[in-house]
Parts: sequence; C-alpha cells; structure tokens
Amino acid sequence: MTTTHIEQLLRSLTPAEPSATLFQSVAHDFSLADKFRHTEPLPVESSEATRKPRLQPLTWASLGAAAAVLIMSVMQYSAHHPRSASPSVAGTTTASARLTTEIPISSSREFLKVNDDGINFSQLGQPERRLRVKSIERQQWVDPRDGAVYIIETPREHAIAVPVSIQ
Amino acid sequence: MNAPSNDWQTCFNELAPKLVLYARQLVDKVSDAEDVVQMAFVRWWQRNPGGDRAHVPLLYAAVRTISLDLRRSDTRRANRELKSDVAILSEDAPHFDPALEDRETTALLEKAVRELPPEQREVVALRIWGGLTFAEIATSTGETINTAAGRYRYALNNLHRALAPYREDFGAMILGDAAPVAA
Repeated sequence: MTTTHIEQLLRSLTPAEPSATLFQSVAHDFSLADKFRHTEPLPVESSEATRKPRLQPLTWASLGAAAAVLIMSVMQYSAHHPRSASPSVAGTTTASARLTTEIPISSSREFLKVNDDGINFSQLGQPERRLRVKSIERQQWVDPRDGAVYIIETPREHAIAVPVSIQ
Repeated sequence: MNAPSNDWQTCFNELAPKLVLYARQLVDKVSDAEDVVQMAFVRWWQRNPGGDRAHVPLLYAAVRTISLDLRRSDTRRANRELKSDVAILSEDAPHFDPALEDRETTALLEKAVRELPPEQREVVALRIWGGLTFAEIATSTGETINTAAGRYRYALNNLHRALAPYREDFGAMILGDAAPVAA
C-alpha cells in the first residue's frame, strides 16, 4: 500500500450529509437578509422622523431670532445713515438704471447641489421630505451701442418640501 | 455575476458536506460544525452571490476563522444545544457516508484519520475532500505552502503506518472503487 493508495482510499470516502436543520437555518438567514434588503430605507426614515421633530421648534425659533436681529440692525443703520448721503448706494442705483437700457439676451439657472434634510413632520403633522436646492441664476444683457455683455450671477437656495407616505 | 436567488441551494448542497467535514476537524461537535458552516456560507454567498468556485478557498478560510472563534467561546454552543434538536448528534457521529459493503473498512479509515494530529487532519480534509491546492490551503490556514505540503505528507505516512495491518481489507476497496494511479 503506497501513499497513492492511501489517497485513493480517502477520496473514496464521501463526507456525511449535514442535517436538514442546517439547510433550513441557511435558508432562514437568506430570507431574513432579503427582508432587510427590501425594507432597508424604512429604519432611516423612522429614525429621522423621531429625531427631527424634536429639533424643529428650536430651529425655527433660531431663524426667527436671527431675522429679528437683522431687521433691527438694518433699521438702526438706516436711521443713522440716510440713503441719499451714501455714495455706494447712489452708485448702485446708477448702475441699475444703466442696465435698463440694455437688452436681455438670456436667463438661465445652474443647479449646483441638492441637500436632503431628511423626513420631517409639517405643522399639520404630515410627513414630508425636505430638500434644499442650491443654484446660480445667470442673466445676461447686451449693450446695443458697443456690444458689451453684462452678466449677473445670483446665488439661490430654495427649500422644497415633498410629501411622502410612511407605511 | 447575476444569478437567481435560489442558486445558493445548488451550491450549498454541493459544498456543505465537505465544509461540515472540514469544520469538524476544527471544532468538537457536529452542532458546532454546522453553526460554523451556516455563518461562513451565508457571509460568503452575500459577498460572492454567483457562488464563483474560484472563491471557494475563501469559504474554507471563513470556516476556519469562525471555528477558531467558536472554540474560544463555549457560550454559543451551550445555547444552540439547548434550543435545537441538532444537539442529539454526538461528536461520535460518522464523518463519512459508508457504502454498505465497505462499512467496516470505512470505519477503520475514519478512525485512522481521526487519530491524526489536528493540523495534519486539517490539511488532509482541505486537500482530499475540499479539493484545494497547496497554495490555497496555505492561504486558508495562514501557513506557507511548504508547511501545508509537509503536513500532508506526514499525514499520509501516518495513515500508511496505521492502516498497514489492514492491508488485505483495503486491497479490495481500492481495486473495487478506483483505478490505480501512478505514483
């Protein structure tokens, strides 16, 4: 008997079949994995839904306070600095008056980024997905007298609420 | 590779007996070995959904890693035995399916394999029933190719010595089951 014979002997043995329970356990694992795969977004939405509403009143209150401070500052500044006395404001007025003589040739908007703020609840208690869309609005004018082209780029940010349904 | 979701069953039926046999070289009980194979196969299939046979050595490596982890902890084994009927399988359950006419010789051979040192038994299981090359065995076990080949050679020599007294019994089995292979 040589080592080759030994290898032949070993290869002639068939490993015993595992129990049926093993097959069932593996099948169970795969079905669970499938289930999680199909319902994957739900936990994300629910976690956001539980987290966001708690912060929402604070966020709106902060925005309101910031707006109030800004308005008060502008009012104080206007009271101490009359508009007619300001050369920079006068310059801006001249420029805008000049632009009215130009011919608008195009207006476009370039979308830069969309931020998903997740699921929130509206004041009516309805779930909605909040998106913040950042874009640049471009407007072009041409001066017919010398062919000069004026371009004004205005950064924009829009908040959009898309109604969603949670099942 | 896109494959129907039930393809895992074909792959599992093909590989599971070999994997369980290998796991039984590393853990004490059948229930533990099946636990190990369950975890390793599910993980492997999720990362390798087509069941590409080129990645089978990774599956054996996963079986090995999980087995070694399991050996370090007895807690999981105790829980499994409490809640499953698999626990009725003892560690003495046969490793192989014996053909009716070869039942005695199969038992002798199995006993000889069980008495090999664990590291030799592991290499034999990977090489003979897993069908891995020595390079793949080396990758799976974290040893060098020379070490794997050396252990295999020592294992065959040990088996040769252990089975020498039963040469007559095995002669018929060899002639009946397989054509002689040139050394």
